Amino acid sequence: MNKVVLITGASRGIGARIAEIFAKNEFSVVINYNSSQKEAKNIEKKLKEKYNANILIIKADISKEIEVKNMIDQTIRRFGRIDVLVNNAGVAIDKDFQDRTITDFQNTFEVNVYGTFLVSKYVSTHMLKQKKGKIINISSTNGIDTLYPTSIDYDASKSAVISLTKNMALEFAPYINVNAVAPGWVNTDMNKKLPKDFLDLEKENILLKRFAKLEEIAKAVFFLANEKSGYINGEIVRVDGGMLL
Amino acid sequence: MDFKDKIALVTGGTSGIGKKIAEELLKQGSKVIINYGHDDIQAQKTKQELDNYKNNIVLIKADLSNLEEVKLMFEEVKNKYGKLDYLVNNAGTNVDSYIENFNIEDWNKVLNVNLTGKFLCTKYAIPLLKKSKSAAIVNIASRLGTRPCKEASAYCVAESGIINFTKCSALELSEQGIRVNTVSPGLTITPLSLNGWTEKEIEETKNSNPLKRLGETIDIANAVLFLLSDDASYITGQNINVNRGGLL
Repeated sequence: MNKVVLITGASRGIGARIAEIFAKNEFSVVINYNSSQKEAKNIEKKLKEKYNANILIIKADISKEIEVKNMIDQTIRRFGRIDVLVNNAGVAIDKDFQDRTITDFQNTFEVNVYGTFLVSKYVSTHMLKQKKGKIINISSTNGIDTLYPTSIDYDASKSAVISLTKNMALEFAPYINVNAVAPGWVNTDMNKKLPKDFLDLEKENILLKRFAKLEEIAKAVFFLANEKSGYINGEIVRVDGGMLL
Repeated sequence: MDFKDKIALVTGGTSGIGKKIAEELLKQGSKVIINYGHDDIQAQKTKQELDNYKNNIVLIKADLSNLEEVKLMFEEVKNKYGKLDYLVNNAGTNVDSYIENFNIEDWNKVLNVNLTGKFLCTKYAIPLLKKSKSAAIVNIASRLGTRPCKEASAYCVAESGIINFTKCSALELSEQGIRVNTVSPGLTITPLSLNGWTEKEIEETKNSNPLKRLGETIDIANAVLFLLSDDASYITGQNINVNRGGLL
């Protein structure tokens, strides 16, 4: 019987690439999305065709508890178990500090922090019954030390995800390993739209002088999801090309 | 992960964590130079245990705190293989002592083997690593490199030094295409780490541990192989703790 992974925000970008690596490795994949239904269906089609994978796409706003509960119920009804959870969904809107509002902060924290907490809470119930599970949270080097005042709420939310990771590792021990991947700059469609001279300057600060490929983040997530990392717990793995400040 | 026909050197590779790393690399098809410090009997025993891979093993004895011996070791690697893909700086030792009673000879021994030895191996490995298309170094430090411990100040300082040495190495060697990372084990079941522990002490430590078990050498080896491989192609200068979580 295949193992089952649930990935939030997996219709595009890093989440979609994570879904692909799990599908390739014979997992049944639950792809959560919020608004990108077309992309979610595209990914579903691609993974079914390429890997003959079992895919379930579920729309849910992870900041809403009832939608989270329904998503987990639906997953369990279809697959009976959840072996791996990847808390990938996140929002980020850059703004000058003076323009940043309390509403921005609330929206960012509701998805990035409360969403991570809510999904983990509902999934862990099943993982604890199974006496086995892996949770990987996607944080960011912005939550550690690559700071930008124009993403002050995002950065704070990613610090919070690091704290959640460590506390959840304590809470769910010994049955669930909880770790995080903290990517630096990644080649996403969103990032490609930023001004070229800004991007060039950022690359100078990276030892590898380039941004990450999506698969380089996905592979780190997959390592933390499999048996080989069974003794790694409460750990934040930086995948940043060497942003040694 | 593609280790077939890659050339790897593992220091302290005849026991404990180093031996497991060597074994896993051999299983993946790498040729492994296994270095050891002084125990010839243990070295021969290891060679016999890994007899299946005998065509892919070279045993080299070298005291890693001795510049000439390290230099000779890498000359032997150069003569046999002409290059190096992976360097695993694993060798380490320990002397327990409170600071007030610490002999200077014991202090120097721990620093020289654990820290200076890694510097010397890295220094002489660089020309060989430059010839590889996918070179990587993993330094084995310890959870004690980032926190204090009674009776182990020399060890803590050496391990702490290794973690920053990794970052310096990553900074200097990235242009050469060489990635450098650290793996920091927590308490792992090896002859060195459990030396002198009673059964009761081991049981108590297991139970107070979030994962309810001690680390095994395979846990460390898995993390090392991940960091050496192309799966970690965007990871450099980092320290991964393989240490069951928890506050300590």
